[in-house]
Amino acid sequence: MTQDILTLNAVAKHFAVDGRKVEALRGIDLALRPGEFTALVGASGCGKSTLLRLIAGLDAPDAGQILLNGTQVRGPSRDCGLIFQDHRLLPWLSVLQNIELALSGTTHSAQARQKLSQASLDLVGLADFANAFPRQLSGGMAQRVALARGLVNRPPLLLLDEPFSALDSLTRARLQTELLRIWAHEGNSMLLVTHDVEEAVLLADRVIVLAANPGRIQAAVDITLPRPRLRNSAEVAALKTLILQGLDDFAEAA
Amino acid sequence: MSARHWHDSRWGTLALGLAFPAALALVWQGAAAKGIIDSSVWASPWLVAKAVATQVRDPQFWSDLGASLWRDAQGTVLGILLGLGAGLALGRSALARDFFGPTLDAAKAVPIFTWVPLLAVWLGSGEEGKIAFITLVTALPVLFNTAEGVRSLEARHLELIRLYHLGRLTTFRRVVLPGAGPAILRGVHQAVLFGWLATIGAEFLFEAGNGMGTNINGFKELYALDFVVADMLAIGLVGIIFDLGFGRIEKFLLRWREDSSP
Ligand SMILES: Nc1ncnc2c1ncn2[C@@H]1O[C@H](COP(=O)(O)OP(=O)(O)OP(=O)(O)O)[C@@H](O)[C@H]1O
Ligand SMILES: [Mg+2]
Repeated sequence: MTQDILTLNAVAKHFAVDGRKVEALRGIDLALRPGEFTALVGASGCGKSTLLRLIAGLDAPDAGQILLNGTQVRGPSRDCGLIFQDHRLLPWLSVLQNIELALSGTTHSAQARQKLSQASLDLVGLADFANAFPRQLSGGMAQRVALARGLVNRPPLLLLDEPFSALDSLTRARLQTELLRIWAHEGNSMLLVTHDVEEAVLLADRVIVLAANPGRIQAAVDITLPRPRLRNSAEVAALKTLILQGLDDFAEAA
Repeated sequence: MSARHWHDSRWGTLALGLAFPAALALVWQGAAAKGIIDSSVWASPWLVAKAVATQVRDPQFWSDLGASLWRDAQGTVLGILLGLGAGLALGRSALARDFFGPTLDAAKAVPIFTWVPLLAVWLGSGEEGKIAFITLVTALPVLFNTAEGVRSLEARHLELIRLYHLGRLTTFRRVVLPGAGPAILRGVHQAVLFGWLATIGAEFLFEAGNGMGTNINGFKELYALDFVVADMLAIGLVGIIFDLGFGRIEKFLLRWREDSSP
């Protein structure tokens, strides 16, 4: 039996917003197996980004436990990468320098870092923009650079916060395929937040549905369809409907 | 549609900017020629022009200009380095801020020239005193601007330091220094301009030595006001060159945040 790469036990997090207590997350239990592709869907504001920040070690939970490879998360780890919802590029660094930042402190030589960064940039179709500054990129291009930065150091667990949200459907489809290819090649674990249920069904082994107020896990749906999955196949459509219904039911009940 | 005026072009702007001083010089010259103003007290533009022509051929002028520039360079470089170091420490460390902040804010309220007697006593009114004064004048704007720039770094950018486990050097080179860059450069720009003012000021206020301030003083004693004005023009020109030159450097270093230029 292999150990889970990530385990969450009764994780809770609240914020004080305008003097009110907002329960961003309550009682989150979750386990990710190594090499598993998990998608996280849920309405806006239900705590998806908060959950990723906790797992990445950028924030600490108020209650519960987060274990990465069996050890408690106390801060960011090299074993866990995060692609932020906003692109988070440093405006004063060139595109390539931004990507190289993610390799800082690794054992690679400066040359190797540059090479890896360039390769990652090629992957997202922006080979010619290595020396551009972030302000010279469109929103979708910046998001692709952020993706390249997230992928460059090949973490065993990669958290992706709506990485394709600003992309046109063609680019999005291409990068989804690319992400699957990388995942198949690396055999790492992916935790992808998306508001696109179809994307979740197409990519993931398991789709977790989060409910809002307080943020909690409402359902988990295993997707056992063989890959590559076809966007307009009946099976994909059926699963999509099932998950969307789950989201709707909840919205009505709330 | 944006209206374009003839004075939108570079040369147009320049011509417009020069029109006022040129007209002033003309009126002045006319008034002096007609004896309306006493041209021994109010050096006429013509006399000033002749004085300029004499000065540029006078080795003493060049040696004084060189002495001032060298003094300025030493004091300003020292001041910028000190201001930068102190500003970074103050911006990064809340402890340092709480400890030194109030004193520095109080020091800001003390007119800088009141330091002259103290510095003269401590360091003598020779070269050390002058350079120390220039250093003080240039360090302060760099310090305050740097501290402010570092303090205003955005949390969402600083978060990357933790996420990517950036070392001290990388944090400094890739995040803190460039992130605070606009503010630091603002401070350095001020320092470059103030440094030149402080250099001339120090040459007036401290014991005479060499330099443009001394040069001016010599002509003042002789009532050669045409030469005084010629020196003023030279000092002003150096200031303008510093300002424009540094503006270019600033623009290059901050090209990452510029709106896309043509
Ligand atoms: N730093 C913070 N301070 C205060 N409240 C916060 C903070 N971060 C998140 N919240 C609150 O936590 C809740 C969940 O926010 P979160 O960003 O995790 O939502 P999300 O599911 O990622 O939404 P979206 O799909 O719109 O990105 C929201 O109610 C938000 O107001
Ligand atoms: Mg979010």
